[in-house]
Order: sequence, then C-alpha cells, then structure tokens
Amino acid sequence: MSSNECRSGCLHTLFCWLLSILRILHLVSKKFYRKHCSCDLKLVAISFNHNSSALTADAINVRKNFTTTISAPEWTAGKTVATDSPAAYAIKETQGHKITIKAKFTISPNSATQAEIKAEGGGVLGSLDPQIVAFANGVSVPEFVSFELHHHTIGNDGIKLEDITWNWKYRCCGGSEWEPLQTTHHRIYVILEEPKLPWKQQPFPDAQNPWTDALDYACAWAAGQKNRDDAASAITKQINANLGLVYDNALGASHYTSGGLVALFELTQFLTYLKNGTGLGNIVNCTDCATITTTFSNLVGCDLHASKMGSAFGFDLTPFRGIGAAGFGCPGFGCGFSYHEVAWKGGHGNADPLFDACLRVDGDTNPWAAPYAEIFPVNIVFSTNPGAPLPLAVPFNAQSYKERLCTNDAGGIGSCNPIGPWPNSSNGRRPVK
Amino acid sequence: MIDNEADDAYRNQVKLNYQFSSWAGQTKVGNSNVRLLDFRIESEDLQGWKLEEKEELPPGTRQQRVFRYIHSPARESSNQRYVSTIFECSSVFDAHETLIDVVMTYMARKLPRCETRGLEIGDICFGSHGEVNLSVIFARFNILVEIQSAIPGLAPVNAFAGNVDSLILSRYSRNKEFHEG
Repeated sequence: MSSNECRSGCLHTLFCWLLSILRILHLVSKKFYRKHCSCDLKLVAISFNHNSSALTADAINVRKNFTTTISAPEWTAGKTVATDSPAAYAIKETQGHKITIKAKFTISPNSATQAEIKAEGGGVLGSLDPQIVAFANGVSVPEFVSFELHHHTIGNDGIKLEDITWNWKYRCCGGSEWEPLQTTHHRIYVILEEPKLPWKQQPFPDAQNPWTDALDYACAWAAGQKNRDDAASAITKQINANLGLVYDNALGASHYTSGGLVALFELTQFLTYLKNGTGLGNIVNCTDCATITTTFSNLVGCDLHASKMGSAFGFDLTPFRGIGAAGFGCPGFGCGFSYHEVAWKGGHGNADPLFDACLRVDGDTNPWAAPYAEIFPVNIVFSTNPGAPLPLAVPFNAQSYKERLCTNDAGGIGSCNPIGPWPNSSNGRRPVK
Repeated sequence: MIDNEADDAYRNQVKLNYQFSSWAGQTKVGNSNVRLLDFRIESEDLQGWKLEEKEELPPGTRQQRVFRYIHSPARESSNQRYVSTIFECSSVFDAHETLIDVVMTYMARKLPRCETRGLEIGDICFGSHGEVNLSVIFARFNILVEIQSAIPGLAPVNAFAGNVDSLILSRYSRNKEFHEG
C-alpha cells in the first residue's frame, strides 16, 4: 500500500487488526503499523461559543477584559494554557438542551476520507464519544465538526470554575488502535444563568460582554452555589471579609466609580487591585461595595442593582462593623450617613431584600446597644415594618435591615427610606470599564 | 445629573451643609471669569513624585475634560500613593457646582474646611475627618481637584495637594490676560 492511499473496508480492517496484534507482540514496529493502518491527523481548532446569537447549545459570549476580545475558535493549535482557551456555560439556558462543541481537523494523506475521533477526560464537560469524521482534500467535512457533550455535568455542582483537559485520540484507515492526537486545556466557567446588566450578550463583541478576568473571581467566590440568593450571599461575604478592603473612614468617598461622578465602575482598576494590591487602592465606600457586589453577582446570573437609602438630611447610625474594621463602632466622620447604597433586589422597596458588603450589623434582639452579635446583611429585607411607631420595642427579633443599621428614633430609622439608584448610574448597574 | 425630587432636595441640603452660597463663584486670585484651558499634569510637573498612571475619563455636563492621575513618591522607600481626579470645568461656577456633585457622593454629611486643618489651598477646599487629611477636594479657578490617598494608614495628602495647587496657579500666572478672558 502506498503511503498516499488509505484503504477501507472489511479486508483492510482485518489486516489492521492482525497488524495490531503483531505489534502488541512486538513482531512489527510502530512505524510499520502507522504506515499501513494509520494516517497523520491534526486537531486545528476548537469552538465552544460557535453560535454567538444563542446560549442554549453552546458557550456564552465572553471577552477577557475591557480591551481584549475572545472569539471562536477559542482553542487553536499552539495554545497550551487553559486560561487561553476559556468558555462559559449558563446552567439555566442549557438545561435540557444538547450542548455541542465544534472542532476542525486536517488529515494526510489528502486522499483519506474518514477517521474516528474521541476525547477522554474533559472534567465538567465530560469525555467526547468516538465519532466518525469525514474528510475531503485533507480537511474535515464540515470544516468544524460538532461533538455533543453527552457526559457533561454542567449544573450538577452549581457555579464552577474548572480547568479541564481533553486527551484527544484517533484511529483511521481501519486502524484498530486508538492513537494519541492532542492534549488540550481549557478554562470552563459554569454560571447560574445569562449574566444580567451591566453585562450584555449582545452586541458581540462589546466591552460589556462578560469578562473572563472577572469570572475568575466571581466563579471562585460563589463556587458550589445553586441559586441566585446563595450566590449573591457568598459574593457579598467574600467582598466584605476576604479582599482586604477597608472603609473610607475619612469621608466615605467612592474610589472605584467615575465618569459623570458615580456612573461607571472602574473594574479594570479593581481587578488590578485584586491581582496585585494596587489599582485604586483598598479603601472603599458603600457605593463601591454595592457596585462590586452587583457587578460580580450579576455576572453569575443574579439580578441586583445598586440603590440608595436615606433622606435629604441623611440619617443617624447605630454602631456597625464597617468593612475592614476590627469591631463595632461609627465611621471616623461620625455616627451618620448622608446616604447609603447597597445591592438590592426587585424594586428596592421596603419589602425587597438586599445585600450589603460594606458593613455587618448587630443581629441580636437589641441592635441599638452592646453587646453586638454581628451578622452579614445578606438577602435581608430592607424593612419588615416600615411604618412602625418609634422607638421600636426591645426585644427586636425581625430580620430587618434598616432597623439594625439606624438609631431607634426619627433621625435614624425614621430618616432612612428607600430612594433608588443614582440618576446617572444606569439604574444601579454601572457599566464596567 | 440630578433628575428627581429626592435628589434635588438632597443636593440643596448638601449645599446648605457646605455653606455653598458663601463661596460659590468666588476666586481668591484674579476674577471669577478665569478659565484655564487644557490643564494637564505631565510627568515632569511635580518634582519628587512619579506619575504612575494617567487616564482621561468621560466628562460630565459641567466639565470639558476629566483626567485621573496616580502618583507615588519618586523615592522607592515610601509606600504613599495618591489618586487625583482633575475636572477642567466650563467656568469657576461650574467647578463649584461640580464640587457639590462630588461631595454629594460622600457618605460623610459634611467635611471640614481645609483652613481648619492647616491647609491653605484653592479658592475653596475641604479636607477629611480624622487625625490627618487623607483626602482633599479643592477648586482653583475653573479647575476642581480631588485627591485621595490610595493606601491604608496615615498618608496625608497636604503636601501633594499643595504642589498641585501651585501648578494650577503657575499656569494661570504664566498668561493671566488670556485666562481672565
């Protein structure tokens, strides 16, 4: 058989089967076996997000960061690092749908018409079942061949970040032995559902498409969470407790919003802070915390917005534990806020729950006096009884936010009311830059 | 920027808190028509400070351009780091209105005047609470400057803020007639 031919059919299959036995017995060389029963196959590219207008059957639209786009095929020959080949899947939208990836191959000799290909491993995406791929003129037909992810476990473990490896194998020309083709590495993000504003799927590409540089953190902070409330709670706690952020006790100024004052979220700078401690520093205020919480939570599918509370005169505070503080107390500028901003659900009304990464409140039956039993204000209703006569009676048992933040009088609880998002903040979902 | 009643009421209260009417539209040098154009800080402008980053930000309605600068001391031994946002506004009055826009976003109800903290800069200046000024906001002519310390701990901004104010004044002095338009 000439090296330019690739026979097929039962006789050739039988011939190759015999050769493979002889090879196992070391009676023929690998080179001899390959010459007669193999071919030279190459994996050229893999597309995860092969349909940028939908997210039910493939990966969602993402980009790396503000300046760098990501387009399919995400993996091309030569990429060896998982982070260079990222893909993100939405649990809700893919549930019950066939999910596929697409891969392109080349083969030589050019006359070869088919090969069988599979991939082992794959982590959350699972292994790829063996599949006959057709070739014409040395290139796979169609150029990008669909492989269904029959064994994926997307959704089983909730939100996830996993670096996966596929060990691709092939056999052709009737060969009976699987031969190694390529090992590929990919970073896979699993989120609850389509990211919400400020993140957008369309247009694509666009600076507001989900950033993988941010998914690296959001998926780690909310790892294992299976619903939006739990995900937002986990993210809020991370921001409050584990990022080294400190409240701006000098004046309570925002350090990570800009553009028309508090219109944009300086996410690039914040990611730099997370990476190496610089960026715009570790000092934050409530606007920053609400924006960080909203942006990272909405990236994994939550639907929060940054919204204000207070009154024209501000409101008085009962001691709380500010972000980065060692214990309960008042800010350095006194026991009052001109306003406060949190990540809020729904229509930011009295009955709507909120998430506040900026501080922890006293969770015991007397939130207006020591001792303090701190709780994270996560998924807590703004006010369970907003019109109640003041002062409120002790013991106070309601899991109600503003009563645990404010003094028990007209200047505190009585002056702290839902206001809504800053007018120029894109309804509390500040675009990222 | 403010488009609803609650925010209007809040803005008015902030103006009262800061006694806006007592200083709005006034300058200490020159007249209230002074308008510096295309004010920027270049790397060689502030001796002893290294310019780490410079970025143009989208301006608001009262501003012509906004730049953010990050400076650190030229001496490597210090860990100070200052973030300055410089708003080049359309007029002196717009700079003062922008000052209100900015302090409205502070959670502190009111800030002390810089003069009470031993810092005499700008036409109007507010410092921070606490032992030292960790942040300062001042307007000089039509330029509004906000300087924040970007590291935890006591890194007072007074000296750096003074240098920035001197730079604005020197740009004005260089071509008074032109700027007083």
